[in-house]
Formats: sequence, C-alpha cells, structure tokens
Amino acid sequence: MRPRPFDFYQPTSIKEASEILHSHEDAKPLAGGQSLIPMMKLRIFSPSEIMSLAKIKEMKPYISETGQILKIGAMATHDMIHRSDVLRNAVPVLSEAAGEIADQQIRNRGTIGGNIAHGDPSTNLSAALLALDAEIEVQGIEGTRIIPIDEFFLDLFTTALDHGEIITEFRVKASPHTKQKFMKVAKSDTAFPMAFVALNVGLSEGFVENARIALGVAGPTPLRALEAEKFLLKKRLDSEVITKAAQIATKDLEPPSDVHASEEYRKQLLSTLIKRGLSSFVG
Amino acid sequence: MEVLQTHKGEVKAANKYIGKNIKIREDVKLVQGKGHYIDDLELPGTLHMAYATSTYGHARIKKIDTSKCFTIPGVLYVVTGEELKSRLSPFMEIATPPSGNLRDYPLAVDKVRYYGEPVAAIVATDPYIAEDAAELVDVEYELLPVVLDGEKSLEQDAPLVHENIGSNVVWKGVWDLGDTESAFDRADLIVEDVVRTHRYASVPLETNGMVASYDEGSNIITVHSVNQMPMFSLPLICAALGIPPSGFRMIVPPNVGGAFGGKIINYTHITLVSYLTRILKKPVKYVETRTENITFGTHNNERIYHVSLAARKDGKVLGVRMKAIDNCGAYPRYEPAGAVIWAQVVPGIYDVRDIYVEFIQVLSNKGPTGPVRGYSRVQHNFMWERMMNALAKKLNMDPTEVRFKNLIQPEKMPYVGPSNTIYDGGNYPASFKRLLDTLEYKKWRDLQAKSRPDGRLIGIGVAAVIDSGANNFSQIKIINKDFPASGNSDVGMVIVDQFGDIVARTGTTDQGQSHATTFSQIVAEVFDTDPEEIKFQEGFDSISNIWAAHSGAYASRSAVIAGTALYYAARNLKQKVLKIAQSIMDEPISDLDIKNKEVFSKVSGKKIPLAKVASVAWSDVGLLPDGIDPGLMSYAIYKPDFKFNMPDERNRINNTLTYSYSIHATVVEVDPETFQIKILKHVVISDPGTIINPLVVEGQEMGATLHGISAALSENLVYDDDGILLSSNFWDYNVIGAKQMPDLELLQDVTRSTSSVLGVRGIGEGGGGPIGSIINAVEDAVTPLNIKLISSNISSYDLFSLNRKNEVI
Repeated sequence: MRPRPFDFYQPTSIKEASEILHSHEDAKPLAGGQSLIPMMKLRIFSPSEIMSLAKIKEMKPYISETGQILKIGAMATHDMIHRSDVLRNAVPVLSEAAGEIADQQIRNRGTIGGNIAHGDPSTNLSAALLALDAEIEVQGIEGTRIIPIDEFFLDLFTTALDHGEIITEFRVKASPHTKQKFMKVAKSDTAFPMAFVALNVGLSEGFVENARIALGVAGPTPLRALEAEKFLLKKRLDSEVITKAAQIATKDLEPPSDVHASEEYRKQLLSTLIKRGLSSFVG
Repeated sequence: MEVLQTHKGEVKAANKYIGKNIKIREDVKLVQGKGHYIDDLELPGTLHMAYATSTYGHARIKKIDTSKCFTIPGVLYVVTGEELKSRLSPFMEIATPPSGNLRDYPLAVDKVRYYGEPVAAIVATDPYIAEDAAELVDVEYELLPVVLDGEKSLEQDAPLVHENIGSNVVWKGVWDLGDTESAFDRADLIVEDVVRTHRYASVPLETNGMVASYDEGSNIITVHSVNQMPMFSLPLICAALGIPPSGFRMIVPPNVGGAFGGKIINYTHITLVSYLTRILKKPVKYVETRTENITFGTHNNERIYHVSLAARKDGKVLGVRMKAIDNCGAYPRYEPAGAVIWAQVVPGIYDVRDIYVEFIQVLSNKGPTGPVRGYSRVQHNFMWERMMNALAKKLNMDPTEVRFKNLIQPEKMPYVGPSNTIYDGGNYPASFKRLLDTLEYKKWRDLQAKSRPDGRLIGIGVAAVIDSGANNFSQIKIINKDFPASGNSDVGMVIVDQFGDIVARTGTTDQGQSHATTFSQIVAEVFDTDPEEIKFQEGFDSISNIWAAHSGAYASRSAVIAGTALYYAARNLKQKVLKIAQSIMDEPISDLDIKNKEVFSKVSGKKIPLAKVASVAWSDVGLLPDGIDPGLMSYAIYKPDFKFNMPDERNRINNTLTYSYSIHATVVEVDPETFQIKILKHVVISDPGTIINPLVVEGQEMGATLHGISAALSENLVYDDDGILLSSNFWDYNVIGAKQMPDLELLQDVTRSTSSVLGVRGIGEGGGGPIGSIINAVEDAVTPLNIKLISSNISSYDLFSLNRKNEVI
C-alpha cells in the first residue's frame, strides 16, 4: 500500500528543524523510518507533514566515550550500536537488544532515536535503555534539556517530548561490572515480539546491590518491575529469590492481548524470561 | 539416442548433461536486478487501478457513493459491481448447478461475502491517487450473519453465502473403493479421530499483477500478467468479457517472482483491467498490495476429516472410512477442482485398498481458496499421517513400526492404487529405514525417555507425502463431465538458427524454477553440446509464442510434460540436421552425429559446423536435398497416456502422471514454560526420479520443506467471530524466514519414474511434508501434559492455552 499525500521537509540544522516542528502542528520527524513508514503505507497513521532528520548536520550518527559516560547520537543505527565494541563491553544489554531487532536491512536503517521517540512498548531498545537508566538529551526551540528515561514514556505512543523537540543524544553510564541480559520471545525475527526483558543487576559478593528490570510488551509503555527490583536488593540470587522476584514482577501486569499471545500468556513469558535472565547471572 | 535409458530402480550415469550440477543461469541475473517482472513494465500512459474493499465478512450492499472519489484530481473512472453486473457475464463455474449457478464477478455484486472483497475499483493517473480515492468510496452496508466454519455452513439454519444456489454446498462426491464393509468386519479395532487443516496462503515474494492495454485498430486487448495457467484462464476471461480468444492476447513476462499456486485465480483482476482498458483506451495496471495478496491472493483450503480406521492388532490397516468437509471460502473460482485432486493420493504411501470417502466442499465467508503448494493433497496426506499416529497410540506401538506394517512394498511398483492411480516407483520401506537411521531415531527415543523425568519435552514425528505431479485434468470430469478440460499437454520448440545457435522454447512459464537451466540441459543432452551454449527463450505469449492449452507452471508439470515435449522436439530436429548434413558431407547418416555444435562423422572424422547446416537449411535452400523443407525448426506437442485416462463410475482415474514422495522426520523440543517449539533435527528423504539438475531439485525440496515448517508453526489466517481477518499483513501473518529455519538434511533415493518418458518426477510442490512430522512431533513431545492436537498449525500460544485448559482446540 502507499501512504496518503504529505509535505516533506528536509532541514539541515537542529534550529531549523525545531522551527519547522514548532510552526507545523502536524509535522512528524522521520529518522530511519522503521515504524513510521510501514504505518504510513498501511494508512493507519498519516501525518500530513514529514520532516526528515537525515540532513541535519549536528545529527550525524556517533557513539563516543567520555570517562564513564557513553554518548550515542540519536541517529545511530541499530547496526552501529550492535557492532560497537565500546558498547558491547560497557553496556552489553544495549548491544544485544540492538542485534535482536528485526533483520539486517532494518538494522541498517532504524535508529535509536526513532526507536525511543516512537513510544512503543515493543521496541527492544526502550527496555535496554530503561534497564541502563539512560538519560535522553532533547533539543527544541527553547533549548536543550535532559529527560531521565524513567520519566520519558507516558502512555502508548506518547512520550515526554514536547512538540518541536527532537531527541539528539542518549547517555548511559558504562557498567561493565554489572550483570546484563536481553531476552526476547517472538514468532520470527521480524515479527512483533510477544515479550522481552532487559536486566541490569549489580552484584557484590553474591548479593544484589542494585537491579533494574525492564519489561517489553508488558503494558502501554515500556515498564520497570519496580517492586521486584526492590525485593531483590541485598538478597542472594538463589532459585527461591529468583522465582519470587519473577512472580512479583508480573503479578500486577496487564499486558495486551492479540493473535499471538493473550495477557495471561504474556505474563507467563515475562515471568519466565526474568527467571531465566536472573538465573544466568549466578552459577 | 541412448540418453536417459535406464532400467528399473537404477539411474544410469551415462547422461552427460542431465543430472549434472550445472550453475543455475537465471540466478545471477535476478540478484543483479536484471530480471523483468510485471511491475517493471510501464507502458506509455499507463493508468493505475486500486480497490476499495469490504470491511465486513458478510453484508448487503445498500448503496455505494463514489462521487467523493472524483474530488481528487487524477481520478478518471470508478466502477462497482452494479455496473459490471450489466456489462460482463459472470465467470464460468467448474461445478454443475445448483452451485454452478452462483454468480461471481470481479467486484462484489449486491453483497460482500468475505472481509477484503473488492467492492469498487478506482482508476487514476498514478497508484497513490487511486489508493487515496479508494478510501473515499462510501458504502452503506446492512450486516448479515457470517458463517466461517465448514461444518457450521452445512447446518440447516446457516447463513447462505450465495442465496440463489439454495445451500452452501459447492460439490459432493463419494469414493467407494474396495470393500470397506468387509474390512471393518475383519478388524480387531477401529480408531476414530478428527483431523483439521488450517488456512494459510502461498505468499510469493511478488504479488499478483497485470497490465492491460487495448488497441482500437485491431480491437485486441493485450494483457501482461503473472497468471500461472494462461490458457486455462483465457477462456474464463474471454467468456466474461464476451470477446473471442482472437481478440485477447495473453502475455506472461519472462520473470515471475514465485507463485506456489497463488497466481491462478487472479483472472478476476485480469478481467477487470481488460474491461477498464477497453473503456478508457489506455493501459491499466494493477499490482496487489501485500495486504490484498494475503487477504484474497489465494488461501489454502481448510478441511475437517471425521475418520474411522479399521486395523488388525499387529498394526496393519485394513480399511478406512471418512467424511471430509472442505471449506473453500466465498467463491469457488478454480474450485471444486481441488475437491477431487486429493484423490491423487487416496491411500497415501500405504497399501490400503478398502477406502470410503464422502467428500463435501462448502462455501463460507472467508477469502477464496485455490491451489497452494501441495493443493488438496497436503490435507489428505496430513490426515493419513495423523491417523497412523492415532493407531500407534491406540495399539501402544511405535509410530514408525505401524508405518512399516503398511508401506507399499517395492515389488508392487508400479502400484495401481484403489482409485487407479499408478504410483510410478520408489522403495518406500528402504527409504523410510534410511531416513530413520539418518535421524538416529533410536538415539532420540532414548534421550526422550531419559530426559522426561527432568521435565524436558522432546518429541519425534514422521510423516510422508505423495507429491503427485503433472496432473490429469480429466479428474474434473468427476465434477462436471461437460467441462472442456482433460488430459494434459505441452509443447517444445527447438530451432537451430541461421548462425547455428540452438534455441529452445516451451509453452510453460517460469516462476523461479530455473526452466532455462534445466530445459537447456535436456536439449544439450540430445545435441551433445554444452548447456551454456543452448539459448532458452522465456516468457509466454498467446499470439507470438508457442503454447498448449495446458501450458503453465503448476502441478509440478513443467519438467515432466514440457521437458518431454522439448526432448521430442530436439530429437526430431537432430534427425533433420543429420539428414541435411548427410548431403553436404556426402556420408551416410548412420555415420554422423552431433557434438559441440558440429556435425561429425564417426567413420571419417570429418566435421562441419552446425552453422553450415543452418545456412543451407535457412538461406541456401537450393542446396537442400529433395523432400526436405527449408528451416531448422522443430515443434513437438506431448500428451501423456495416463493409462486410466478418464474416471470410471466409481471415480477411479489415474489423475496425475508422476508420484514423487517425500518422508520427513522431525525432532522437536517444547519449552515447558514458554511452550516455544524448537526443531532440533529435520531430515527429509525423497525420490524425485531422474534428476535433471540436482541444485534445482535441492532448491525445490528445501523450499517446500521450509514452506511446510512455516505453515505448521507460524502461518495462519485467523478470522475473528465476525469474519474479520486478523492476520492480513506481515505484522500478524508471520512467514518464517531463513534465519529461523533449522538445518535440513535432504536425502534422496532415486529411482526412475516408470510413467514419464525422461524418468523424471514432478517435485515442485512438496505437498507440505513437514506439517505432519511437526504436528506429530509436537504432540509426542507434550505427551506428559496430556495435550491432544487436531489442527495442522500449532503455536506456542496454542500450547500454552491447551495446557491451561487441558482441552482440545
């Protein structure tokens, strides 16, 4: 199918881009097009104005390391992220999550900025960045601000971005000593996932020092299993603790139901993935 | 000509080019983007057609307002069923009345009968505008109750899909073969079971597409389309349009991007673009969107079997009785042809002669069905393999042992089955044994037993399919003795052109089966010339190229039928070359032969190039010996003798020419918590007959296996209770890709076909072999959970739900 008509803008600076967004209520930024283009082609979403980020000079894709802080440009592709040695060593959960996105062609096009700005609970990177407690740098007509990822996702396809704001960078702390894992269940690589989790757990002499558990397709937004994280603190990861944590993490969830999985089945998948992920950190 | 001569059970290695792994010449061109597909065709001034489609499963059309469409500049024409009803004849039906009276047009008339049915067509200057305008078609519907399930559609008060035929029955027939009464009397036990096959699609990479143009001067409509059976479809189209075949030219482009059966019932779109081009006097193009292709491109038939199987205590099956209810969706189109072709494989691979089948095909408010790889046999094969497992379970026997008890023995080959099918060779028991050895069956059974106490769910399944090829259209006479189609035929043409190049053509078309490579090998064998030197002209043209009425790539027929025609054409042309060479070289014909595009004398060693002979034959014709016509062009038409060519009063007929088989063995492991199904090992054994090119055969077998795995574990057209298709695009209709596919081991036990001239068997379909082995393996794996499977599709979500409810879906 083909999209409905739209006007197309191709600004060359962030300033210009912000102004376009600010003055055009319906304008939608286009990064890699991984989600936006198929939605437009199926005519389930038809913005009347599209603004490409491809020619913005400040938004060339990059991955850099400044001390303990890793900076990832919003236009970095999934493939770049997946193949980055720096990221693989410092934040393996992000690297794994990027590598499990769809197929090679999509990883060549899709960007981390687009993935997050979309506000879809089924994007791999949202869970990985949630588990890593990332910071999101956004720029708009009023200037630059930082949004902690915990405050970013508001509802289904709804984020804390104001209209006119563009994600420019992600910052995550290098955490090579924590245990990290990304795990997903999907019918095929290119299918929407049934469930996934991203785990980031700091252990000290076998005891949990800090834990972030992020859940995908578990509700209207990417979610953290806050109670389970709290429960794990100061505990040793034995099978009883792990089982309990998985139970706590999923007991109040209301994941969506569709042809691929019911709410109940998704809960079971999430719980199993958490259990297996945590178990992989010990023994 | 000594090529291809083999004795039973052995293929002589004497062939020089047939059977060789010759590089597939088409592939490089296609991956470089140098192919010519339908969507590459842009005739000057082409207009584009888009459909507005039904958003309901069943509804009366009260009013269609298309006026808003014309508010968009570039919209030229909008047509609805109301207009077509008075301007076209309804499509010819294969079935006799009453169902033969149902009225099928390219657009919905009076009612919509399935979700996604085309309701209006918009023609505009570009495809974007056409789609924009399609959204503005305003249809007022009155909702009607839907009927989706085959059994429900037979109920007294079921909603009627086509009221004028008085019921939802398309066709019913009975096969009363042998003596089931006596078989059931002699039986030690009766096993009863229900088997269901699910709905999936053929999903070729390239969707259906066509471009029609109209020449006012000659009053000829020319259609370029991807249709797989152009000359079968042509009369249907011409009859609907009310024009003679001489006014209609059908062309198939040189490259078609896969079909798998799904490019036959596209004649409805061809008719519509032809109708529109005649009105608009400009070319009209339509290429299905992916969503349209999944929604109405061609679905596989759903079928429900109620089976009683009579057996002895030792596992020997004595007879079987079944009632099969086949759900063909809202319009029969190529159906009920499929309602009889399962009968190509009546006993599966088993020596069972007392079989009673009551077969009913019904309509429902779902998308139209038609041939999908393994058409109609895949369901029947699946039924056999489920019943074999059910019998094994009841007898507490190993499922492989039960099969060994029933396999057709090699000494009975060629095997005339209970419905007069002639299975053309193969050693089923030896192949089955080799399959199990390669799988390491015993090892897996041991591991299964050992690991069950640890909660591991490992399962092993086997299943066979008869992959019948080169169909005999006379089977349609079972349905309608007046329908003008029987037998099968195709043509081959070989030319030695003026420069001495060998050029071949056939009537069949290619959809990725590497015809140019394989057909060149056949001609190369006859002319003892490197296949690279043989030119092969692809593409179909009803006016300027050769064809037979059955021409086309479907039913695994090209190698068997077109290949034989080509072989005859080459052989005849060789004789003519030698006759002319005899007079040029002044040597007896018996001393002459051809090699590497030269005629040489086996006695004197003298040689002349083919070009020399060609020059005399085509241009220097004064030098031709008396009684020899100019030109080096040979045309052969081949019509196989099926022995039992026409159905008898018990519907017995040899309704295809070759009967390749494949047996699949799968080991799966089911995750006890996520219920994900992982294939640990998959081995296939088959007998393709004489192989022309092993790379091509392997490619076909691998493709068929992967298609079957995807059908069993993923692809499923799910309708909700209101008849809305929930899986109409790749977000929800998941086709498993290469990355998810397990490693396959493909084995072959090659015997020459006793029915085909070249010894080859049709193997293009594969018949969904893995579906049975996977379902059997999954059910075996979840034995400790006491889950029973019925359907040919299983997902992790299904297993989770079954386990939770512990009941059958």
